Amino acid sequence: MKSVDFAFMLGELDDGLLLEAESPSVSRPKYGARLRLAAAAACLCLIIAAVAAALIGRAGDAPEPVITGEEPGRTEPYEPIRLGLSAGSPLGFVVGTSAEIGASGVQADPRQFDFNAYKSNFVVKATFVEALPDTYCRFNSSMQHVPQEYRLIKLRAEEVFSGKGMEKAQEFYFMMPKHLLKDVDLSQYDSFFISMLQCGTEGYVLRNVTKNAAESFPAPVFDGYRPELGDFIAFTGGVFDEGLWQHKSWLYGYQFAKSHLDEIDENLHNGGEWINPLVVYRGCTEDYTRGRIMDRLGEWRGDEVSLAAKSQIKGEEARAALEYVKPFENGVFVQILSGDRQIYCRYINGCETEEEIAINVVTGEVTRSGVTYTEDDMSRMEDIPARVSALCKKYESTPPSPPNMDPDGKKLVCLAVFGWYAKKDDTVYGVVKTIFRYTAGYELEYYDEAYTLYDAASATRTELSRDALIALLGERNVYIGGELGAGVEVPVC
Amino acid sequence: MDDNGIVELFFARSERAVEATAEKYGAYCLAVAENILPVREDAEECVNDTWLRAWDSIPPARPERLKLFLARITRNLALDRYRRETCEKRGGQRCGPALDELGEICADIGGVDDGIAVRELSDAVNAYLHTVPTRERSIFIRRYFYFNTTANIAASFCMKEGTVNRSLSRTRAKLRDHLKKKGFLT
Repeated sequence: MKSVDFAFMLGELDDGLLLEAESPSVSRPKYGARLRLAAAAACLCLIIAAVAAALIGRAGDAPEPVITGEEPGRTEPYEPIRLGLSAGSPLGFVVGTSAEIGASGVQADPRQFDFNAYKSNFVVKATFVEALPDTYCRFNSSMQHVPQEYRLIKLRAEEVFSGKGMEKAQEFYFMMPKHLLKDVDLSQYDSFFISMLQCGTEGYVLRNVTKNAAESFPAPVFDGYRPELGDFIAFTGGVFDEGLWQHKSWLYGYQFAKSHLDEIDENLHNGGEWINPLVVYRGCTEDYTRGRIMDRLGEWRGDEVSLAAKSQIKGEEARAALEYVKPFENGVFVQILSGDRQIYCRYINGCETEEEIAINVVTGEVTRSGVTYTEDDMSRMEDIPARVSALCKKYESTPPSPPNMDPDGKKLVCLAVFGWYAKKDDTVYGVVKTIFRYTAGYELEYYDEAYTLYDAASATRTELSRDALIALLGERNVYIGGELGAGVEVPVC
Repeated sequence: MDDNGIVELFFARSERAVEATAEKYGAYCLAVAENILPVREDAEECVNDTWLRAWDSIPPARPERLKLFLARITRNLALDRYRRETCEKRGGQRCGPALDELGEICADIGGVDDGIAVRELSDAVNAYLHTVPTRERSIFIRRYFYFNTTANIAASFCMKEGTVNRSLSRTRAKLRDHLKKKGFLT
């Protein structure tokens, strides 16, 4: 048998084995006291390692990375129920909030530590302008159990290595995961080399978590795939500054980077076989790093990415559509960039609606979802965030019962509540969905959900089944696979 | 969006299913493909094909673990491209060394034409890996499922690269013995 055929066959390995390999230090307790004892010993080792790392840090040396198998900011112990919600906001085109409850196990992705110098990314040298004080998250993260929170930093491009339309001295925002700025002052570094992707044009709207409001930004907004994994490099005095990655909150990436930095030097970079994903070594200069990045960009065969901007949109219909979705002129439209299209989805009170407008930047073609919300609708809409908020408050004291199963003998591992709006036959409905996930041992999972339908115009509130909801409003946001409340086998290592 | 939500979108035949999948698992699938194919453009094509395959498969499939479902598709597409390009003698693929190592195990295993039942072989490998200590089998899977470099595995497990190579060598030798006992080796 050829080795490639054997490799194909290995694609059939058990899920449990694959998950275990992705998160090497996180092993699921199984059977027997011996393993539990081993797990306890491992925990003790981790505690000792953490204390040792803290002591080393205090002694002034570079901190040693502590490998946890999970990312900083997502390493909280498993919490069955976590209700964090502020009160609902007044009706209108302002943002409310949604609930985020529970946490599922987060696996560390098997990604190499690398600097992504590809023409499909924007690659720039930038200087720090300011860090906005508030915390932000994306609107469409409301269905996630643990939405990612960001801080926004404003940067100025000094050199553009990749990215058509991105000009020198152009200011832009970068969405930095909140935990990465916990103990970091970016103003102390002279410059940064960044690989990033554009997530919005000027006027991009995010949810300001601190102020519980929507906010738009006057410059393009970018983000990265986990900047702590090499896509954000600091320089001081023109020399690579490893200190940024040594901050406690960046250790998840540094655990990979450190082993490379320990092994490579100028000689290996210049003369040896290039086997390392880094574009830097200890003591290297900006000039050297620029050269490595340009080498990689030169090796890449794809087209260079272009900056998306509202000014690119041509044609009367497209310009009219753009005017319609202007932030706060006509509500909150959340922007998604998808190829040549700029897609705008309307959110009301922080909740998703089905109103969607897609503008093709190249052709000027405008596609609409067919549903439009008006000012008149606003006066007859249920305040869904307030309902979600009240429901969460109630659940804190009285956990709800799943409608389609008996929870006895099962452990509640996830409870989530979220709401959205839907319009049909000129009636605006608010829907609140409660999701339940239970386990029984390690082998069985149970999934259930409950729906409540609000119609403010007729002042009615109806508990309804999944099938009834689908019959009325279709399948949006509805899980339609499998029988609710039935046990599903989970592969066990 | 959680995986159930994404699967719902697939079932609803919503185009947003692909967007949501790409947003959540694009980088992950790209990493899987790039471990096999060195040219970013090729890897990106594989990832784009992954979304199409997922679109064609869900429904009727309802993956319990969407991430692994996508990883398998990406891996198979990348290996398929690897096989084609190796035939065209373009060579230079990233997974070459790992495949050479697998050759130690499978060189004496017959092909499908020789009556080897792939499903039975796969079951035998799965059964064997369950008997291997956790760390060693994770190293094996990182190398031969995800095609991580030994340097990368060493960094992930806080080990020296030589230790990783020794662990892999040991596991391969034992797997070969196991398959021999089960009658797979000619």
